[in-house]
Amino acid sequence: MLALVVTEISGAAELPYTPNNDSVVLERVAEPRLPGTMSLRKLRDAWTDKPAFLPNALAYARAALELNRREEDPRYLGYAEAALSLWLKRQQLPPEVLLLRASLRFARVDYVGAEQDLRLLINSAAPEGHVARISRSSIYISRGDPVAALADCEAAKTHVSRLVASTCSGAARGLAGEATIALADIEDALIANDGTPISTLLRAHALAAELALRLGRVAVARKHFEQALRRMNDASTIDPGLIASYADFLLELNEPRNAQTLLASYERQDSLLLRLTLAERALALAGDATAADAAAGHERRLALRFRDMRARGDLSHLREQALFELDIRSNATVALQLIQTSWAMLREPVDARLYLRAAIAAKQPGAAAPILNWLRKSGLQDARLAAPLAILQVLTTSR
Amino acid sequence: MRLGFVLSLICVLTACDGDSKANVAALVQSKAAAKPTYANEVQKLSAAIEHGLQLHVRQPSDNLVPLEVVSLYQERARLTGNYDDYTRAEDLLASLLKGEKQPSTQCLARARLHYTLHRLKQAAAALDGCATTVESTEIAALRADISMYSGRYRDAESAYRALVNDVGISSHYVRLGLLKKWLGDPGEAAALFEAAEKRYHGSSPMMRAWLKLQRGSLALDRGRLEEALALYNLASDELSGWWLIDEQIAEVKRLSGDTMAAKALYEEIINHGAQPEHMDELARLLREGTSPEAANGWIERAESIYRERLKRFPEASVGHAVDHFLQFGTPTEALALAQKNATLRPYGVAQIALAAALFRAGQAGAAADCIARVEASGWNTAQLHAIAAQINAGLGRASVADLQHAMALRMNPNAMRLYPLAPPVQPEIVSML
Repeated sequence: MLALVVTEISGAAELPYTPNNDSVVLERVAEPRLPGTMSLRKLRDAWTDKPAFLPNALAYARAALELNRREEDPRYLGYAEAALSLWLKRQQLPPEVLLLRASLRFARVDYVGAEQDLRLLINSAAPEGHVARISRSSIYISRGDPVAALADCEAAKTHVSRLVASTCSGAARGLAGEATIALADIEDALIANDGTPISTLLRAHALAAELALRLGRVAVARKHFEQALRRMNDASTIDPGLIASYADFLLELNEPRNAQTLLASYERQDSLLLRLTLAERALALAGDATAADAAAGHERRLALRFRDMRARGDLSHLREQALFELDIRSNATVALQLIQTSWAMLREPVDARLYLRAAIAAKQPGAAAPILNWLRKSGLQDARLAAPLAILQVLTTSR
Repeated sequence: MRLGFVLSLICVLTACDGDSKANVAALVQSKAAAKPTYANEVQKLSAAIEHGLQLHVRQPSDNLVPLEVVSLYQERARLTGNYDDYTRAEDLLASLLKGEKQPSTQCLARARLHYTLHRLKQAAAALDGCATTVESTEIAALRADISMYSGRYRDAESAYRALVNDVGISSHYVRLGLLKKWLGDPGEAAALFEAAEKRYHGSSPMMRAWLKLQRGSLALDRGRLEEALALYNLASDELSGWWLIDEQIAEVKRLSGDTMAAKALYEEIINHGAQPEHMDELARLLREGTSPEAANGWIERAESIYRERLKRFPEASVGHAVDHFLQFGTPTEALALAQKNATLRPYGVAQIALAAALFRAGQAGAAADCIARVEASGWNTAQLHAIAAQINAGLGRASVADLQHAMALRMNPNAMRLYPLAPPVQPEIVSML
């Protein structure tokens, strides 16, 4: 399926740029560093100085994974894997290494592998087992299995903060049609936990915004997005998932200028460059010629990036590739094929909506059957599904 | 582990000068013998205790003998790490108090025992009950110690300086040196420890070894691993086979990347005296090794000992238990223990442990407030700044985190490796919903 898709969407290759002068600066690369820690290079040097000393390897690997999360740059995953390579070869991995391998597998969309690692931790006596349950619940959410997700959240409840517990169970309950209760619980927990680590806070706000949108509470969702963005900026951190969700929200509300402002500094991350391009195209349709030029350039860049991903077998952005084909290339058939492939791994409400849109645009209403089954099984209620489901109904009955 | 070492260090101070007086102390004097060993010193103390108890039976009206035995029980406890001797000391002291208004000579012994067992309020109350005839220098020193562990560092420093200037025995220099170390003056601390060592003229190998350990610990805190190891080896020359020295050597080995040697040392230490702190360290190393599940038995055994000690010696054991539960227990229990520990002895080490426990429990804001208060109190160590860096990074306070990080590394280039903070449990991101 994926090979077929590659044949379909290969375009004309762009020629590589060769500077005509050695003094031309191609790119300014800042030395990556997380606040409160050494630069990635120094962490790497400490690791290479004593490659068998696990604490140094862990520090380097963790920093690399966090940088990948912020930058969506798969090179960091390679660095993390290299740091842990000595221990990854072993029959039995140290618990901290096992947890990081699960994180690596998450990042590479190898949810089966990640789940195996998490199960090993959960079934062991290691204290990391509780973290593993919380992480495994995310996998169950991504598969659209709220019952299993909630079971993990409940089992880990006494080992985590209230906000983490509420976010975990909120994601599960929200998927099972209990969005109102889930949202109320998270909002209470947010009020009570103002001194929470920033990453937990951002996740909680992002989930609260999503739940509010499922309930049709647009103003509440906007409030959470704005609060989260403010905290993210205050903390000088980046949460691409949050930014992408907020951008989707603004685009759906026909606020492309606000989306463009939001995304302007995030061209490095593929998921965010995609949304920036969508915003620019919307502005172009409204007559903004500058935006039109920018959109064209970004479209070319995205095409190259997605081509590179396919070439290296990177499945981490199939959803974005489907969105690109549907909303930028207007290639609904290819978009449908991509989202169908993605659906095998990721089954979240955003994927369900995209799947329906692609099936409608490709005039293949029958292709949406897996989504309809999933909706029935999970119990998800999402106000944003009403319109595509109605169109699907029309398409189905008119055949 | 570092907490345990500090505890042992301070407890020794209360007996630092004790071996210069009293009849029973003479029983500890050994004839010119081969190089002192841990086993020999334990045997000598045990013999002295036994002799003292026999004297007490024969001369029940002489209260000085049992008071010295109380002191010897504590000394043996410091040497062996065996808490049972504290029970014996308490029981013997209690038997002396029966029936009559307590003689003022016992107030100092009671105060010292309370202090050793981290009961600062009771220690202060016992000192308040001392008559004016009781040695004022001893009282002043113990009151200053109580001030230090209560977080009143300026009061403690003022008192310690007065003792150094007015009396100037070894233990006064050590006390001031330890305080200066914690207030961020390592150079002054080093000079004071050396002065303390020069001024010790007693015959206790344990004391000579302990003074070298102090200097080694300071070197370790400054990131000078080779210097620390050299001093620890000198300490071992003074008293070979002492677990307190071996655990420090093991820590240096671990930090230097020689985890096999560290593991072997911990295994040996545990074979000679099963203390839960050493089981925790061994478990940590085993978790990094080829059979991580081998750590589980040690973790369970350590927890069992901690729980038993928390029942018998709640004040004395709670600080050590915090470290264990932060690593291997639930965040809730770790936080409860840390709060209790910080209430009992609100000095920097306990407050920093509380900040770590708050962070682990997901209360990063409270953790940041706690660590800021410690810093404002004058406490100034690489540990403080390393923990502050991690807490503030977690909160997204990048500039504060960077500043604290720089301060930590300036004081000790190994600080971030020595003081990693267990992060709060957080979900892995799969993707946005």
